[in-house]
Amino acid sequence: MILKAERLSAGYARIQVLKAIDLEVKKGEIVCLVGANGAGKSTLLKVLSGVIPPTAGAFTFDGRDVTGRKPNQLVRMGLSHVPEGRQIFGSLTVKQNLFLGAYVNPAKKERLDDLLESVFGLFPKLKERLAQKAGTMSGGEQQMLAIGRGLMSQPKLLLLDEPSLGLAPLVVEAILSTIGELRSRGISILLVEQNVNAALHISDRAYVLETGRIVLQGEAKDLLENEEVKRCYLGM
Amino acid sequence: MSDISHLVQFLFSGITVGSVYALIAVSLVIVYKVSQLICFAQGEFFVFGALTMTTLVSKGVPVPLAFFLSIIIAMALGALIQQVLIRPMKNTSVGALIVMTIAISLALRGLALLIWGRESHVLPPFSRGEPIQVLGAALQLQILWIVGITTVVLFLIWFFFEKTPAGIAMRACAENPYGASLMGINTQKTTLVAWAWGSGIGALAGMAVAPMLFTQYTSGIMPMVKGFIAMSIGGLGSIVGSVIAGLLLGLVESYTIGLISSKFSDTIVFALLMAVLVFRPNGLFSRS
Repeated sequence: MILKAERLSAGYARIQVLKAIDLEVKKGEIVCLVGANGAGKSTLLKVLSGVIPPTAGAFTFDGRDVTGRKPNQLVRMGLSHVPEGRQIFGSLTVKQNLFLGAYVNPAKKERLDDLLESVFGLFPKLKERLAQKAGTMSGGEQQMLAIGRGLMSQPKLLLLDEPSLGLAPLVVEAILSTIGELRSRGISILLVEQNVNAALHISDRAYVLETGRIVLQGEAKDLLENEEVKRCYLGM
Repeated sequence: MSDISHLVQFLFSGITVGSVYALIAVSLVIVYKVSQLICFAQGEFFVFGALTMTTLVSKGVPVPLAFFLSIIIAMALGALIQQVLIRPMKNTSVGALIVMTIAISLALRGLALLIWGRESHVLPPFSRGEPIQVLGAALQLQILWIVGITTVVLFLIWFFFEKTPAGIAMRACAENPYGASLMGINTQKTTLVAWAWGSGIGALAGMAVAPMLFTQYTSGIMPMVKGFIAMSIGGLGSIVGSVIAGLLLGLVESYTIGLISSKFSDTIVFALLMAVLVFRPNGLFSRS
């Protein structure tokens, strides 16, 4: 088990966004979070990466209780969050962005170069753009950079928030197929994706979130056949 | 003196004053980049740097040691102010924060009055020796120190922000604090370091010119204003822009004083600022 959340609750000011979430990600799994806008998916990822402290409940990462840890501690342990909207540093070069991904694990120069090479293995385009300012790249390239940057800390678990948002269909396909590639590199993935059909096809399991509660969970292939999921999220 | 030697003399004084404006502008930019805040107390660091070093040297501390001690004291003071007074206000408006930095400026000015009194203090030059004659103009050795220190500081800043992980992390924090925190960058620590840098550079400006000025507790006001003008002309967040603007201001002032009259130097500088704000509100060197 790489991640296990028990009765996790969180919110902003007096608004409770997450209500007693139980969730697991096993090693090597791709787990998908499905839900409408405002269901609490992004908030859940922010709690798991330490950006927002939970108001109740607990979660373990890699067997250790990490409730209340800060992002810098969690990144160092191997939990990397690729946030919604990419949040790359547009005024910095692609290379500087990637190096910042490895900020908490100051590696030797050769090791950094190895890490860069492994990112280029997934996204060859980034190699051509190394010296370019990140803000001048296309949306798809920026998303590749955001994922690549997230990989530079050598994560065991990657939290991916809406990686295909606002991208052209071909680019979406490319991004989603690399997610499968990441699993084969031994990285577990918790994925939030508005393209539910595609997401369920690459996931092992999924949770359906409605107004801060998990209302349905199971194997991804079973959820693809579930009548309610079909009606609400697959538009069938 | 010939006409040429006059023009060269004005060039020297322009570069001297311009270097000071450039340093103060850079110190403002560094704080501005991480805190989105113009720290109006920067002129007081100028005074504290100059007067701390003057006191240390007059007590017999060797000049190099006094130099580094004064910088470290100013950096510590800046970090302390950020930690104790600015940090607790992080969820308030920028307006409130600016008022806070004005209050800090006044408090530091009062503190300087208590410590050093109303008198003016002069620091001996960093090195002794006759001025060098260049085309009939006298180049004082302290000017070489000022230009040298400014060059070294600007190179270090460039190196820090372009080449070191800590510097790049600081830029990341300034641009996108949320994204930076996800990289595991400690945004509070980074802000603290930026304030320490800013205060140290402000102090350095005061120390470098202290042998050429009579420094007293109010001496930081005009350098702060001019540094701020340089920062505005240079485009608020741009280090390169504010350095060029600082030097430009110094030269404009010096030639105005020399060729027209000292009465007009401030008028022309402020007119320049107004013209830039009207015609290039994002600064002279911004691309947009």
